[in-house]
Amino acid sequence: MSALDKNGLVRDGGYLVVFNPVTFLGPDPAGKNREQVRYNKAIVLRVLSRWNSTHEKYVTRLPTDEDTVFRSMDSGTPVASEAGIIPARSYTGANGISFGMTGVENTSDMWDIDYTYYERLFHVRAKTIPEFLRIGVDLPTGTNQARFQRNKKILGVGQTFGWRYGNIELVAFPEINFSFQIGNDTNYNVRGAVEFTYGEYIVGVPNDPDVIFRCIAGREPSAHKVTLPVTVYDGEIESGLVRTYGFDGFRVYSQRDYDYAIQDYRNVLETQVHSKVRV
Amino acid sequence: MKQLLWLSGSATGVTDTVFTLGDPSYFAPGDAGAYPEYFRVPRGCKAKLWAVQLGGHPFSAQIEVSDDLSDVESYLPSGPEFVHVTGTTEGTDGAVTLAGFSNYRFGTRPLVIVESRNGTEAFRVGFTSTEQDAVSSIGLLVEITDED
Repeated sequence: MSALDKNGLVRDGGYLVVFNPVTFLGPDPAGKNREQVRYNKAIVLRVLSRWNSTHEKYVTRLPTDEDTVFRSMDSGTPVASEAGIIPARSYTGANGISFGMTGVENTSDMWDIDYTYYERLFHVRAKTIPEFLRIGVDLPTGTNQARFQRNKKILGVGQTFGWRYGNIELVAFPEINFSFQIGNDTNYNVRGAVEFTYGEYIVGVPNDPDVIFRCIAGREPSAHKVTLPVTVYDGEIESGLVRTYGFDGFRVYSQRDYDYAIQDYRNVLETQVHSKVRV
Repeated sequence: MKQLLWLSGSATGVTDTVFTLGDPSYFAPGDAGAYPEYFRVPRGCKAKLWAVQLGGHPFSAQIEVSDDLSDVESYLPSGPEFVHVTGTTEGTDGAVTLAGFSNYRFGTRPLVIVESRNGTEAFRVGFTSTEQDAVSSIGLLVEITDED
């Protein structure tokens, strides 16, 4: 059975692995050949259950109006003729766009929650309407991290490559803001909208080092992996994770370093991970 | 990614022009209150023409394609000419005339595919008619996709 249901969300009792593609430098677990080696981190969470699991759709028009700042793919400063429009040959401003909603924690951003929501996690799949709108995510808000050849070239929805059409998958951690970038490279003013398929997961960090290792190693069938859309480890991401969970990820070990991994994970669980988030 | 559009427009009081085409579900007119005369295909995508419907006064429509938006003259006829003839049931190139409309449908394969490789490829629909004081209309069922 797949780790995901028909909507692309993790099933009750499954696991979500959020992989951080930024590498860190640390001691070689074997300690024989080199003192320092590069490694990655990953957050492993168990999805205990899903809130409102049969009604996880939300469709809304783009939160743009005549005052929204757009950038042009050609020249000039495009302006939306009316609410919900993304002008021809334009893409959203440096701060991107957020989807506001009344009655939620942050009324200007429906996905923004703070560390007191440590047991909650939003797994979001956003689909643009129409689907030929480009979509990207800035994590944290206003920080475009799409790069090519290290930092040689900046990519994104307004560039010649480094974007995707139609849909994107992301994980909204408490304490870490993000914004969407939307681009329209047609010559038409587009009435844009986004369809969100989301899971409000009730989560915790699994207390078993072997489960963590299997999830990270890809040997746990009920684990689904999502990669953070980052190339630089912004301090806001690290501090947000630490404030919420007490740590910012488990080190990713190779298969042959199982014993070191178990020892390390046990140590992280006992000394760093908040007891309230362990399950 | 797949998106279907119904691009429609009309021509009035002219014998030779280019249709302005729009789909109100997804597009808003420009500042002048009109839709553009061409559709710039999103970079890396294909525009597949699945069906055409013509109505109103008799006219001919021609799909024209350009890979260089900097030059209006670069639009070249591509694909067949769609002919709308009222007052007859005789089909032309697969056309079926029903209640004032001519319908062209292309079954399992699209008749015209415009692929954007540089982001500068576009298509438009040319219009010719023998009578100036008349109204003619066209609708195109177009799929925009980044898949094959």
